[in-house]
Amino acid sequence: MWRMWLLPFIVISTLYILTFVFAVFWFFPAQSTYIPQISKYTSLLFLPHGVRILSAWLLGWRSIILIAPSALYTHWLILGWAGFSPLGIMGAMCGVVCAALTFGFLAKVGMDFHLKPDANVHWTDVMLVGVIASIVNNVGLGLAFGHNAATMSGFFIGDITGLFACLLILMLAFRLLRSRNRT
Amino acid sequence: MTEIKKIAQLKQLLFGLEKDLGIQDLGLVKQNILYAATLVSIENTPIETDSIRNHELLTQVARSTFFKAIKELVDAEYLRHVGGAKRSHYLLTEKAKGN
Repeated sequence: MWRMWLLPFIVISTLYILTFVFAVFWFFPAQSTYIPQISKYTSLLFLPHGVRILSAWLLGWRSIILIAPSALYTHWLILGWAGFSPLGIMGAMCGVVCAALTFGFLAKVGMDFHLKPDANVHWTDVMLVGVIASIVNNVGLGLAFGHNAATMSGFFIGDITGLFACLLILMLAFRLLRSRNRT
Repeated sequence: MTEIKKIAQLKQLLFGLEKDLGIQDLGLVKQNILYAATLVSIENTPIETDSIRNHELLTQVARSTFFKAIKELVDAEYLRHVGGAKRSHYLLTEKAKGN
């Protein structure tokens, strides 16, 4: 129970909420001073997309249940209870399911990037999943909230840069650990 | 899949990114092989495997580790295998010289 659900839940929720707060409440205001024409909450570096893609890669369908509470919480942070209309919940859930759904869909069409003992998944495979998952998520958000193309393009750019930044941050963290442990 | 296997796969994925960005750092054995090869090399003359293997920088390295590291250095294009000779010979590539 602890290893299967509680520990991943704590790690994913913490990372998702922290990266969300960074992207929307810190990065977005800083970005607005340079590019003020971008609409509200459209962070061009949306790290939570990296968290959901990597969670889905590492934990599969389980990631949907694990990420849902933090995704709904951050949805509430932005929109309040007004965001919990049936359409609003549908929009929020697109972000929750898009990653696992994309891994599942790609596996069905012969591109199985799921984590398996004998698989050798390249980081570009994970980026491809991130691109498709972002499109799925943006279509859902567009249907739920009626965003225009410019806003959805901003979300898409934010998702992709966010995922790549997540991989870079992890890579640098592992490099740091390696250099510390080297004798 | 066990947790350690998941972390290993994540590390492998990130190592691929490191490699593609060209910022992977070589392990100690591979670094020492390059240093030894640089020390024993004469301009554009192929270096015999034994002269690298017997260098004092590599005396503590197991034979299998040495050959595995040599192969990885060839794959990563730091060394170029020179064919035709009875014994294996290598040349340092421009990448190794600039490293």
